[in-house]
Amino acid sequence: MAEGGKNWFILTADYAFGHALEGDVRSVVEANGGRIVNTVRHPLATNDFSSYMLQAQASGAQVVGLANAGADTVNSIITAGEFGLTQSGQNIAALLLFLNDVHALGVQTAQGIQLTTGWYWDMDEDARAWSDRFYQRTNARPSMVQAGIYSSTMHYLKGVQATGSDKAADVRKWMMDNQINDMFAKGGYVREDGRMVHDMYLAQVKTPAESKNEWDLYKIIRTIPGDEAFRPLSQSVCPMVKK
Amino acid sequence: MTMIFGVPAAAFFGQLLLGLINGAFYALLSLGLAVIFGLLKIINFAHGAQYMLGAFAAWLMLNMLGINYWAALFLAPLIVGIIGVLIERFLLRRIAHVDHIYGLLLTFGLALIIQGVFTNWFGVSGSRYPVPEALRGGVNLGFMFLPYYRAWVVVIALLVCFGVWFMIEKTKLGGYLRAGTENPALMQAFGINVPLLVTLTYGFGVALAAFAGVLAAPIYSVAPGMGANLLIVVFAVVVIGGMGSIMGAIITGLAMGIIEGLTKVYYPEASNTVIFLVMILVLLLRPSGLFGKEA
Repeated sequence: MAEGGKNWFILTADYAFGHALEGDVRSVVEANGGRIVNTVRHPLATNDFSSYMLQAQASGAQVVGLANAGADTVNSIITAGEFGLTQSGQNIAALLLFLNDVHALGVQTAQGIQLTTGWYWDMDEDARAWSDRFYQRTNARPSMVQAGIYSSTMHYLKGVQATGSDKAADVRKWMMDNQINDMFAKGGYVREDGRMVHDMYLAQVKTPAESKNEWDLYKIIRTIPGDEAFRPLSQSVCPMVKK
Repeated sequence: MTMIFGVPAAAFFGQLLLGLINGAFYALLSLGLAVIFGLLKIINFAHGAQYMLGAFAAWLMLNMLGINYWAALFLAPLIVGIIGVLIERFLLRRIAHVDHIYGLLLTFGLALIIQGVFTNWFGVSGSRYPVPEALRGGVNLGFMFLPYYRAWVVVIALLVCFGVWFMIEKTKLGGYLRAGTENPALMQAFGINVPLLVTLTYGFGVALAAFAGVLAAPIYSVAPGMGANLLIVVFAVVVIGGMGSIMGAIITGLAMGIIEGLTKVYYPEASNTVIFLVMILVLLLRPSGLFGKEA
């Protein structure tokens, strides 16, 4: 937000996930004195984004936020490049963009895009060591999803081992009592609503000149502390939270 | 500024043009389906996978063999067309005498297998195919920025569509094809190799799908799922146009592209559904489709 502009155009995937993402962005943008110029909701798995990109261009917004995921995000970004959005001075902010999506786009197309990520394979020593092992087996670098699932599974299994039980209540208590320090997170913890709180990162896709190999894709611009990155417990709508 | 239905005229024409470009894809794909259904009575559910194969063939040729876009535009349909010929010769022919539903199931199964294998090889995100050098950039038309590549797509797609229509409806070869499906036994009595004709027709329909795939490669992400999303819409286009009608498929393809494009402006939430609403309306009023011959 601090690095972006004031006026936002949001392109949202029209389902619960997209709406939630759009709502979060809206509150962050407005809390920081920005303005949402327009939002357009597109159906999930849209084939062609040119119409929306033209609308984004016409809106005159400084930032085009993409509240969608997967192939929709990839196609949005390709089309934005094709119609010259970034050349005409608009920034693209992808709210959920995975490493494999950026790899598919290539740095030529994706350069300069800002995104938030929970993890990046090259961010520290532990992450690098783990993803080297991953790379040897799969010939690809892991995304934050793969790392997150590995981390959460290991945390659960450690819980089973420590408590000697596989009862949900026992393991859950162990998982909440013990912090997560592994290749994924440092000092991560599980809240009473079940949310795992850990640092998030604002990253920018490298330019072709900066990128040394095909998986050298992100620069981490800023670390967002876990307590800022996630919706605070006081705003949680989870019935498990005692107020 | 002049307004059309609450949208600035400039934006309106821009969207109209974009709709036409997408319509060109629908036309090209539904044309292949219409050719296959019209002449073979096969409901080709593998069409989306074959479109995807065309895009991947172009991508593989560029990255493994250094074959450029222009050569791929010719070679990819040829290679995928040959795969189509093999599918017809060794699989579809064996079930030609049974109910059409078996052809549907077979091609649907094939599509799932092909997509699954490609997902395993290349991952779901797919790959990027660069726009050919000569067609990079675009021109500012005043009301919108038109990338040269999109302009090229609409022109070449229309040329191919009308070329195919002309060949099937107006030439002697097309006459054989139509007669061969009407009455295969009589045609064979005249000394024409009908099974060969059928095999080549299927190969040709598949090649059309692959051709559309190569055209699509620089615009969309070359991904295993790229055809599956499109296929359902394309089937709706064929149904609206009238099953098996060549001209119907072309005109309906273009019209649906435009309708979808305008929906993206006025009520974007419905843009994936609008074609099916049109389909329901058309089926209620004209069950054989807009251009269908038999009632």
